[in-house]
Amino acid sequence: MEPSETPDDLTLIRETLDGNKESFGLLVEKYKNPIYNLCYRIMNNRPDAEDIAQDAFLRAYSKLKDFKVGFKFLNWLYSIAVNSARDALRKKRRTNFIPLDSSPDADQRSAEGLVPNGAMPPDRTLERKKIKELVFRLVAELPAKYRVPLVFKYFEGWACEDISGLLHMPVGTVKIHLHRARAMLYKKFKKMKLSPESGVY
Amino acid sequence: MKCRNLQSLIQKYIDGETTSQQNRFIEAHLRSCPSCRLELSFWKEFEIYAKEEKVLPPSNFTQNILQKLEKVQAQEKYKEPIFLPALSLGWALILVAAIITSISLSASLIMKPRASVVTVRFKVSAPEASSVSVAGDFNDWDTCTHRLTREAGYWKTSIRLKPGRYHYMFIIDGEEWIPDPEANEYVDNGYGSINAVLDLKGT
Repeated sequence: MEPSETPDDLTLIRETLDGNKESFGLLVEKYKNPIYNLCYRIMNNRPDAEDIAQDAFLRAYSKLKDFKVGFKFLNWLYSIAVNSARDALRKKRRTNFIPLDSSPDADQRSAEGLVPNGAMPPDRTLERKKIKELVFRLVAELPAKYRVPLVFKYFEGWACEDISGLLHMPVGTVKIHLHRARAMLYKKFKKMKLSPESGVY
Repeated sequence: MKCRNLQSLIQKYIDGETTSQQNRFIEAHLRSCPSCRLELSFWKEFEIYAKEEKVLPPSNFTQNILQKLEKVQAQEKYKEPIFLPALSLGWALILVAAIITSISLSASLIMKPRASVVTVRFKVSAPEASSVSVAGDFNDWDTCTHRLTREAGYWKTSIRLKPGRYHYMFIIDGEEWIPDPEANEYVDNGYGSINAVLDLKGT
């Protein structure tokens, strides 16, 4: 599943630097899925995810000669994508616009039934899908500084040490941010679950 | 209150980072505490949610990128890079020298017009610094986003900016703010020091 570092990457990078755009196309093709998925999780909507992912690849192209042999190319792309996303989020914050993929009635979505305590809800699959959407939306509402490590930890399965290297922050800070992210997320979730609109009461 | 203290332990428990002694303690607590059980199952579910759903890019993703590359390069071909030497302002240098005596600085901007965006290269000499970053209007004065890297005796970075006027400063070791000693222009920032100003004209 995870594309691995092979001598191929270096060959493709060399060919790209020699002016062969087809080779760069192959690199994009190879890594577009993880990069796009990451961008989607940070931006939480498709148009932005596409912009950021594209921007990341274009930035990678223009500074390809700075790529250091011995690094994982995917990780290098990740760090470029994260910077791209951070820039975009800052701009968005300034315009005070929070894009969400969710439909207008998202707030009314029920969060009950996540945990099988007692009877199974009648339509478990539908219920599960709703909860998943709610949880993803709550993730998207977290401040970016807490969301980014959370995304890497849970969506990408990274260890704190690797996140620390990518985000240029001490492992301790990553752990603190993760801890806050989880505390906030679970608090929001509990609140949604108990809010009058959720239909639990 | 007991549960609050347990929270971070429960996370470690999920991540498999707890000792077997801690595990026995946590498991005993879980048996008697429904709210912690709920939280545990939330995080277990969350891990599954996060892993199972991968969002895929549109099918023309790669093609779009290659097209954009073609476009950018076609534009670049017809534009010769212009080298604009930074004007050094004697009085500013003296002022800076008075503020900072331990660090010798020299910076320059090389501007390469490229469609509507200009690549600006920031360069500064600060041999004793262990980190240098640049903050300004273009990054909301965030000191963490644009770090300079040490290269052949200088700290350097390139930033792509839209034409416009930007105030900016260099930050040495995360705490000492200094204006670019070779900026073309300076203004009083109202906080008792001066900002360097970068005026990028469109092409």
